[in-house]
Amino acid sequence: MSENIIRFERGIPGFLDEKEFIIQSFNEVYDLGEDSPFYFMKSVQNKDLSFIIINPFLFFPDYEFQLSNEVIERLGIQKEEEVAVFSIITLKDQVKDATANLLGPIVINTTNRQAEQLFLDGTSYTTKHPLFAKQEALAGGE
Amino acid sequence: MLVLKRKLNESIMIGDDIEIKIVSIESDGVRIGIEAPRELAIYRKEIYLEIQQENQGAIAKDTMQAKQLMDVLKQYKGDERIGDK
Repeated sequence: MSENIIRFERGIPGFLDEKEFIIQSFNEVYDLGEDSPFYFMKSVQNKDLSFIIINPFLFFPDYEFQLSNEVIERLGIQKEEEVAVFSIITLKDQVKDATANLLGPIVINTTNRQAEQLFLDGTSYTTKHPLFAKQEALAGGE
Repeated sequence: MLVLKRKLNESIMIGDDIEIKIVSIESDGVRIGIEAPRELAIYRKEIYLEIQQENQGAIAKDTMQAKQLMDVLKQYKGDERIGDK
């Protein structure tokens, strides 16, 4: 399991004391027997603290941003292949209204397991992109 | 809070290696240049607060609800935007 632990040297905003998280796929947690684009990001020291994260590119294929030299240096990134990106999901009362935080992606160096939540300042991304936007359109609203 | 008066192109040093410079002064705002070591992340406060607030609201409390994400996704399948992986 320890190979799935990632380390945020400075914590994440709102949870600055939480430095280590473990990433587990829904498949692993719920024994789905199928691939899932959803993962839990669970605090190692606080069992009650977990987030749901996704690979944003599966839901938002046009999503893109540049890693600054500062981030590349802080995370010790050597090559693009070792970078993993996740977005945190916020669940609403209705699960179909779930949103993804594309303004603050989580970037991980999969080689050394260092992670950081970035702020894509100066982009049009927000903290609340509907995950199931198309379905809502098909349903014609409620 | 320490308050200092600065004019255009004047700077403030914080410690030995952080410099904050007034780059331009306009009617609707001030442009500030910052030089700091790379280990320091720099951001506008409102962005930081927005991310902080979103993070706090994103704690996964209800695992049953989380699991429903899979059901919603299944209904949503057929949409080529979502891959099989």
